[in-house]
Amino acid sequence: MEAIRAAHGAGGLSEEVAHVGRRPLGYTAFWAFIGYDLVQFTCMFVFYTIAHTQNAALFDAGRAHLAVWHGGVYTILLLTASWCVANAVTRARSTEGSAGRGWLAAGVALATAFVVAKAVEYGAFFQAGIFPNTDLYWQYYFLMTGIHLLHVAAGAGVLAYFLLRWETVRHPRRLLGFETATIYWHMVDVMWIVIFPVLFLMA
Amino acid sequence: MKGIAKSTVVWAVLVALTVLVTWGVELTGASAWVVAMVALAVAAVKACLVGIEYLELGRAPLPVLVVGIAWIAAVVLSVGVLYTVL
Repeated sequence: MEAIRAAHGAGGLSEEVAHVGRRPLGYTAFWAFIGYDLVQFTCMFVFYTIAHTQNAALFDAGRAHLAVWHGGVYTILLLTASWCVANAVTRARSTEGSAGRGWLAAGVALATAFVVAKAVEYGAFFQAGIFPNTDLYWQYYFLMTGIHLLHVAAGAGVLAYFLLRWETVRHPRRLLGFETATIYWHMVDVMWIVIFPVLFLMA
Repeated sequence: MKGIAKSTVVWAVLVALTVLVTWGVELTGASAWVVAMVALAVAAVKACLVGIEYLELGRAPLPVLVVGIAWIAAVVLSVGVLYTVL
């Protein structure tokens, strides 16, 4: 699978990590969980679209409360976090491992910024008298963005765990665990990439 | 360094596409259907880029890459077709 399983001492890898052959990122078994999660979100997208087309006026009235540019900013936050995390993985595999800490810290900070921004947005909705039980549109909105937000918070927490233990991340076992955490993070990013047009842009 | 540079190019493309659909598409005065289809198509491209570059599907075994791309296609096509037909 990989050539890296050799060449590491107590403190971490001693030479450049080199992939030999093709293998999925992280623990292969974790991809089954990713598939399960993606199926759930696929169902939500499909059910939302059906409900949207059957209640167009209601959904457009709800969507009018959203600021499209907020959605754009959320998207850029998550995309940039994914870029940082991907760079952290690249650095963790290389002899420049210590540089990965900065990339991962930036990724965690951006993920945290997303959580804070969504919390502020939810607070503004609540102050405006908009709640999950307001109508069908808001049920879907809070369900889809709420579940996604929980995924972001969990992903940020796991990435923060590896950030605090960065010196050990470069050990092959830890590295595989870290890679697995990044699978989860990128999946969360992909989910939002679809949520953004579905909730914010489709009138 | 080469890998990092590539990931940075991908990030720039992702952000540019996001800016395009967030601030650009509606300014064209296109119909809601056109805006929706463009937004979905851009989402598919962005999801593929994240999958291939950041999730490293491009370096994964071929079946994993095929399933990943097929899922993105299935989701976007499902939403697009339902939005159009219903």
